[in-house]
This record gives sequence, structure tokens and C-alpha cells, in this order.
Amino acid sequence: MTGRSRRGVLAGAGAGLAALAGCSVSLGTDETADGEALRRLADEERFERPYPHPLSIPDAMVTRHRERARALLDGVPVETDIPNELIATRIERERERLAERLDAGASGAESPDGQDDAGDAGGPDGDDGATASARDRLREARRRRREAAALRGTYRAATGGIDRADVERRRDAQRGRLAAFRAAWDYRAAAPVRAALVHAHLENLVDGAEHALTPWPQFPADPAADVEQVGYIAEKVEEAAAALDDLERYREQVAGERTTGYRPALMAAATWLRRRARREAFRHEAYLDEGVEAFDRDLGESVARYRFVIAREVAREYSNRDLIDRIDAGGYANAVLFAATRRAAVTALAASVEAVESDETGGEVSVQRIEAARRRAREAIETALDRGPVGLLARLLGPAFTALDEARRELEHGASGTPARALGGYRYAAEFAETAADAADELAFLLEEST
Amino acid sequence: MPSTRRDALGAAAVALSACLAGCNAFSATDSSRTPHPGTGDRVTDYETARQVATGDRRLFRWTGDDHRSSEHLLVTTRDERAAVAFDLPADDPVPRFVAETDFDRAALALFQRRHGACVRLDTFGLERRPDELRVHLCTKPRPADERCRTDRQRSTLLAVRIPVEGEAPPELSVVRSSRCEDRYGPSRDGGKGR
Repeated sequence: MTGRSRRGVLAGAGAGLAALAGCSVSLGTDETADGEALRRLADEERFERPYPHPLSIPDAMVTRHRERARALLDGVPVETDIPNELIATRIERERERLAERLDAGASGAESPDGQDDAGDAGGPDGDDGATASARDRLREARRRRREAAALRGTYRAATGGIDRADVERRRDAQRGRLAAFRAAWDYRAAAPVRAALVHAHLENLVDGAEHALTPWPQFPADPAADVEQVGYIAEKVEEAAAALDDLERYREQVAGERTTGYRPALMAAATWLRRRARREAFRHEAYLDEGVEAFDRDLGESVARYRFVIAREVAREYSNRDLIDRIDAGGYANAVLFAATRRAAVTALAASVEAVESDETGGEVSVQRIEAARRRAREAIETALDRGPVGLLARLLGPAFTALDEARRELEHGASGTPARALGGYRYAAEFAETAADAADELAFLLEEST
Repeated sequence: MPSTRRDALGAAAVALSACLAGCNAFSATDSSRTPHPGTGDRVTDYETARQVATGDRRLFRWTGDDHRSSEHLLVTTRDERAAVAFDLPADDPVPRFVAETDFDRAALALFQRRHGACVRLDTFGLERRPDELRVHLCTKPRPADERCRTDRQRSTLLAVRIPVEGEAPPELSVVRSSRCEDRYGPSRDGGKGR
């Protein structure tokens, strides 16, 4: 309830500002100067969204991909005897490029930054900016592995060394690994919020592997006539294998903790949050369906109008339908995070409707007011992240960061943009940051209660 | 070399597709056309002939009085055909294909291009738009087991026979793509259309 009282204070402050609005200088008295001032605001340093990684990435994980990439590369000679010189040259050049990249990456892998933060529910990731973070190096190594597989597949197609059965055998093997992973997957973690964050990441990897295993495009009838297609197919299968390597390592990591299986708890929390958001959305259904037309007066180009428009867009993006689909699809961790984001989005929408209905226009638009609103939005986001858990908030605050980005883009247009929309966007971001923090508390509470 | 399939295709250099679908690609009611991305309708019942020569060769030229493109040409009458001169024996696949065309029922589009010796140029698809006939050509590397050098050139001549039903000849436009994949799967009417 703390959030609600804070919102009450905020609403009061908003009304106060609206009362003062008559005194503020509106934009448009000096368009050139205002346009410049707006653009200067847009140029100021961006407020970066944190992307903490919920698991550790030991060097062994990176090394495994690199070794596999090297082994694939070793299967392609430095000089080929492929009759088609164009294909021969492409293969030889790509081999050379990849060998250089692998050598360059090898020195990076020796950096001491062996592990991202594996602490509680997602601390900041261990990237100190000086060396590539473990996550970047993992991504890079996986990319090299895919590229090496594409090259090796292309080479084998060019030299008659691969057929459809080879590809299907390897793809089926990965399909088997994926099925085994799923069968044993019980969403274990040391704490419930951590379960949501860790397993949302694993779900993304599983989705990636599944997508990579789709048997498309078809293996060509004449591989030598379509070597690049064969390379692409080989790359996709390797991508699945790489994702499964990581998944199996992460699972060992998670199982090593003193853990509980959280699948039922995640499912329960997702369902409860969905129902709560549905109940609140139901009260505002006309606004969701009809937009500004649902109000009994013209909102004009007011700041309140833009804040409402943005709130409605977000609430529709995080829709009940999408949430049901996610729950049905069985991605429990991502579903519960989506549910909490929707919960925050619907509450923020309700607040924006309330603001309009209590006759707030959001006041005049001025450079100073835009700057102040941006500062408040950033402070609200920082406060929410501080309240934590940071990994959870970083995830739930997505719409607030998007609103900041969109407001900045509006300012880039200077006087020809819509400054009222920028101001509405910052107000929305501040509001959303508070509702997201409340939703995070609610999620944590529900997960604890249902465990 | 696992290319019996490829050889068979090569032997049929004049890829005569069975014109089972009524051969009325220019009729607005033709059911053999399926929607194509963009504004055009996909045409599937066309026929093609293709010939390749080593080096930089001009395989056809327009001998008529007016100036026309030496890269592509739309031929819709016997007179126009008479103004096309081939630098190839008359019984070669493309000249024969052109000679056999009945202009009461079809129009011809001719293309010639010079390109690297290790790539293949082919017709990829045909699309009828409101005021033009758009031909999609594509290039892709030749099979890996065909010997070729990157510092050599080849010239490809393509002829496309498109069924018409007594309409004014459309404008011809050409789009080139670096992929030759069949995006839509096999065609039910047996045409070459992809």
C-alpha cells in the first residue's frame, strides 16, 4: 500500500502543479531557442537500462564453445581443391577470418572476469567496462561456433561430404537432448524471485534451441549446387547444440544450490496476477478499447492526453490475451514476469485515467518542466531499482525505459516534435516506475505465499 | 558427382513447362495466379530457354530502326522477331525457342547479361503488375563441382515465353536478386513459375 499512498502524494503534487500552470511560460514564444533547448536535452547522456545476468558464466562455458568452433574449423583445409573458384575462395577467406577471430578471442578469454554476478535475485553483472563481460564473451564464442559450423557445412557440401541423413541424425540428437532437458526441468532455485529470473533466461535459451531445430529450409537435393544453404542448415543445428550445452551447464549450477522446484508457485503467481490485472482492466475497459474517445471531453493536445495515450499503448501491448497464451505455452517464468509487468501497466493506466478525470491537463509545456519531469522519471526508476530486487525491476521496468527513449526521440525533433508527448512520456515513466516497484513487491509476496 | 538430376535439368535447357493451366496469364480471371508480395500477381505458366557462352558476348541485338535496350527486349510480333539477330546457330536452344513462338498466343522477353564465370543467371519468377510485367532474375554460385575461374566472364541469354490474350503488350521491368530460392514451393499447374 506504500505505493498507493505515494501515488496519492504524487497526484496531489500534480494538482498543485496544474494550479501553478497558468504562471509558467509556454513553449512557442521563441520557437528557435526552444527547439535548440529541446534538442540539447535530447543530447544529454542517456539513462542506460541495466541488464543483469542471473547466472554465472564460468570460463569453461566460453571455452567449450571456442573449442568446438576450433574443431569445426580444423575440418576445413586452409587451401581447398574445390573446382568452383568462387566457392573455394569464399570458403578459404571465411576460414582465415574465423581463425583470426578465434585467436583474437582467445586472448580476451584469459581476462580475470570469469563470472558474472551470481548473487541474489540478480545483482549487477560483473562487467567493469575494461574487459568484455563474461556474457559478451559467451555470446561471441557461441557466434564463432555457429559461423564455424556454417563454414564446415558449406565445405562438406562442396566436397560431397554431407547428405540429408547426416543433418537429420545430428538434428534428432539435439531434439533428444532438448526433450531430456524439458523432462527434468523443475524450475529449481534457491529463492522464488530468483527462480523466475533464472528460469526466464533458461526458457529463452530453450525457445532459441527449439527455433533452431525447425527443419527449415529443406536440405537441397543437390548439396554441391547449394552449398550456402547447407552451411546455413548446419549452422542452425549447431546453434541448438550450443544452446543445449549452456542449458545443461546452467542446470548443473542451479541444482548445486539448496533448491526448491518453483514451477507450481510461478504458475500460481502468474494466474493470480493475471486475474488481479484483469479485474482492474475491466473497470477501464472503455478506455482500453476506445482510447481518448472514451472521455466525455476533448483532451486536446494536453500532457495528460499523451500520458494516457502512452499508458494505453503499454497496457494493450501487455495484453491479457498474450498473457494467457504465455501461460498456456508453459513458459512459467516469463509468464509470471509478463504478468507482473501487465499488472503495473494496468495500474499506471488507471492512474492516467484518474488524472484526466480529476480534470488535470498536465499543465503547460516548457523546457524547464520537461527537464524536471525527466529528472523525476529517472529518480523514480532509480528508486525502484534500489528497492529491488534489481534483476526483477530491471525486467519489469521495460515500459519505463521505452517511454524515456521515446520521449528523447521526440525531443530530438526540436520545435517540430511534440514536446507535450515528451513531457507526458516522462510523467508516465515516473508513474510506471512506482507501479512496477509495487508489482515486484506483490509478485515476491505471492511467490512466497504459494511456495 | 551426384548430379544426374542436374544433368537431366541441363539437357532440358529449353525448359518447356506444360501449359496445363489455360495459358492465360494475362487474363484478369486466371485462377492459376496466386498473390505475390507487393502489388503484382504471380505468373506461373511461362516457359524459359537459357544459353550460356564463355567470355563477354553479345548474343542478340536489335536491328530495328528505333533504339532499344541491348540488355532486355520485349518481342510481341513476327516483325519484331525478324528484327532480332542472334549471334548463335539457328538450331541452338534459344534461337529455336524464339522461332517456335506463336505471337498470337504468347509474347517473348529476352535478356542477356555478362557475369562472372562462377555464377549462374536464371529466371526466378514473373509478376504481373497493373502496368508492367516484372521479371525477377537471380544469380547464385554455380555448383561447387563445376570448374570455373573468378577472373573469367560468361554471358547468359534468357528467353521467357509468356502467354497473352490479345492485350496490349505491357512494359517490361527487371528485378535482380542474389538468391534463387523457390519461396512458394512447387507449382500445381506444372509450370516453371516459382
